[in-house]
Amino acid sequence: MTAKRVEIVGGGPSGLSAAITLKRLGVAEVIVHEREPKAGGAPRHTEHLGFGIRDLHRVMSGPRYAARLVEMALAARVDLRLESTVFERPDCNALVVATGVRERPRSARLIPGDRPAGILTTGALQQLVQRGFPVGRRALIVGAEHVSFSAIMTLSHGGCRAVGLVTNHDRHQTYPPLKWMTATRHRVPIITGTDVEEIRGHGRVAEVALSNGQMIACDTVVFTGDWIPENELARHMGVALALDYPSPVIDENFATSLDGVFAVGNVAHRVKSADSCAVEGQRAARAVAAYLVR
Amino acid sequence: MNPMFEVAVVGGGVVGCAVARLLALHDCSVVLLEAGTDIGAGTSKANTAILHTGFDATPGTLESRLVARGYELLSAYAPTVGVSIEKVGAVLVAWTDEQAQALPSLITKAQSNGYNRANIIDSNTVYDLEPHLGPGVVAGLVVPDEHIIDPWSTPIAFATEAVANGAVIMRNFPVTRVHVGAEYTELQTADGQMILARYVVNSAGLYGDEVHRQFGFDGFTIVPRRGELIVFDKFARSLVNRTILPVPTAHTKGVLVAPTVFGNVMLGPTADNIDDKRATGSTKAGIAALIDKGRRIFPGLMNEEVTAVYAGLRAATEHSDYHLSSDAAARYVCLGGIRSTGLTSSMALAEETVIFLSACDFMPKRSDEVAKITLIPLGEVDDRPYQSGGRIVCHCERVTASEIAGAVTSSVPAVSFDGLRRRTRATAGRCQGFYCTAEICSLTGLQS
Repeated sequence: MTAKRVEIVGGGPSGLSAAITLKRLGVAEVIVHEREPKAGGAPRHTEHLGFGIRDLHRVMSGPRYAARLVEMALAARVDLRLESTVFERPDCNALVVATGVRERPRSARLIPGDRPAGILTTGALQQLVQRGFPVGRRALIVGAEHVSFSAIMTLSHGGCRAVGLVTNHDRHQTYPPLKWMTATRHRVPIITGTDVEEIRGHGRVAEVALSNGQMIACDTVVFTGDWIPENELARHMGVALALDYPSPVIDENFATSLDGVFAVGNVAHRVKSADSCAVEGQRAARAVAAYLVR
Repeated sequence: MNPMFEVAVVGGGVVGCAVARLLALHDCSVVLLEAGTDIGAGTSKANTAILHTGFDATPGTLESRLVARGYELLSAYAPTVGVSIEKVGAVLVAWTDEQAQALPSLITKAQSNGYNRANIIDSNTVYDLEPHLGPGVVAGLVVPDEHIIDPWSTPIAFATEAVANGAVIMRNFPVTRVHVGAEYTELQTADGQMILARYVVNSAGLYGDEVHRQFGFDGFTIVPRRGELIVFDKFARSLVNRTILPVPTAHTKGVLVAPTVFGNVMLGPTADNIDDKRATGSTKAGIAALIDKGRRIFPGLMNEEVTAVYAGLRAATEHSDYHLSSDAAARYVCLGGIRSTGLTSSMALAEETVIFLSACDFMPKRSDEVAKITLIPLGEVDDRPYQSGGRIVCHCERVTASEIAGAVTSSVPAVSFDGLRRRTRATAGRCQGFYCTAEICSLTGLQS
């Protein structure tokens, strides 16, 4: 595999883990394109413990975990290119798409009402709090997935109180310990079986009307989870997407419908934890290496 | 001492900005008074982004004449200042025999409006042009000269050129009291700000009737007509080649589907007369009605994500035409009741204002030397800064750090995320700021 080149799009846990493993398997040139100024993916902004268990067998914070994966990649001589956006399929022996996932924002959820400031996703919230920017005083959280409960902690760090967590599901979708550490500890009511009907406010969010008739006074609304694969590049290249969820269709070797194009991590399936994606990246690397010598 | 100007333009929407620009190109001092925190941020920010030929206007109206003239002016001006336009054309689609029978009368109407290039096509030809249309097309009418335009950069370009040529823009200046003196008119806000101007142009849009009454005139009342719009992800763009118009009814022009210069697809607008001039929120019923209509026009649209839902209020009146008037004694020009066609007619309305002012004995000379401006175009068909290597901050819309930093330091700067979005597209894409909000706060000092 001395003359082979693999390019990986996305420097999050799955992309970096795939790159590290490919180098260890002897692939000559492994390039990771990360469009942000810093690699590490979503864990960079998740300032609580719980990362690295499945892949590194340690419990770390998100930023520490992200930094560790970058160190390992550099030590393995991965060619890590920052602020590098891939628009078209590059010329290489194999391409790995590891572009991750984003939360569905308010507009895509078709929630009516005004368009004031103070409407965020957890991704934006985490970065704002990490940089010390203000995020309001009273926030309503929409969704009850793991990330929704994580948002309670982030808001608390940012000096903002979560006044409720609303989901149209019949119950929350997280582990009881996480719920206990967040919603229970911070006394955040979980409102189930309920939709957000309307956001009101001129300039800044003032109140949110719920389908159960409740009116929540708040200055911030955080839309959490309800993930969408970041599939722009895959779709642009013509990779076949699944019908029920717009991630690339992959086989047991992470191969997409295009020869030589692989997909791994949260772009490739419904959302999983960072360390699960990292383990997957290692497995995908072995499949890619096998492809290179086929 | 209160600031004094020869002309004050009240209202910084697309019309007021066009007027301020044209006056600033003359030898006179101009102030543009905007009630809100930014120009182009009221009705002008929520329209269908179409540069109309005016083929379907009511013949003989002011609107018909000014839309046709405005179309000529703006389609020539936009490319010179970096405002993206695309001549995509339009197809008016008849879904019933009754609608198909109405098409010949639209050709006649277009000809009365001076537009002779519309023609009727059969359903097969419609599907050849627009293969993704839903089933049931009976016939169509092609209007090859309809354009789409960047509706946000248009007022920004006007305002930037106005400022470059000496005009002053005062924001947060809602005129609530007017006193017409012998030499100068006093224009005041409720919080005690005041300026003096010899001539006043009323381009206050939704509030035009209130300003008109402050001058002691009557004759029209604004009835806000809410239009809700849905913008689909750029992946929807390949479904739609042209602007798809419905056959108009007596009540409304109906719901259209149009590509945008940014590469999205827009569906709307609804049309509801309401009382509240601040009710710019979208509604559950409006969204549901649009989705229902959109599904029939382009079934494939519904597989794509929505990147924006918004509502704008058109400044409709009890009359079916614009209300234009002047009063020499009050040294006053009124541009009232400018509805959704105001984007297209804006530059013609500016020309009209100059004529009205001359009727008030104000005939400033055209300046010998004028400062030229150009914006960075935001359209998909234009060259964008990221293509020459700038650092991308907003990945969905591919907006670079220097564009974002530039938008808050320009001569008509953004003061909010909303203003930044209209100037650069940053956070207007599919992730709505999931990735870049905090970085933009760091770059600009704006609060999210």
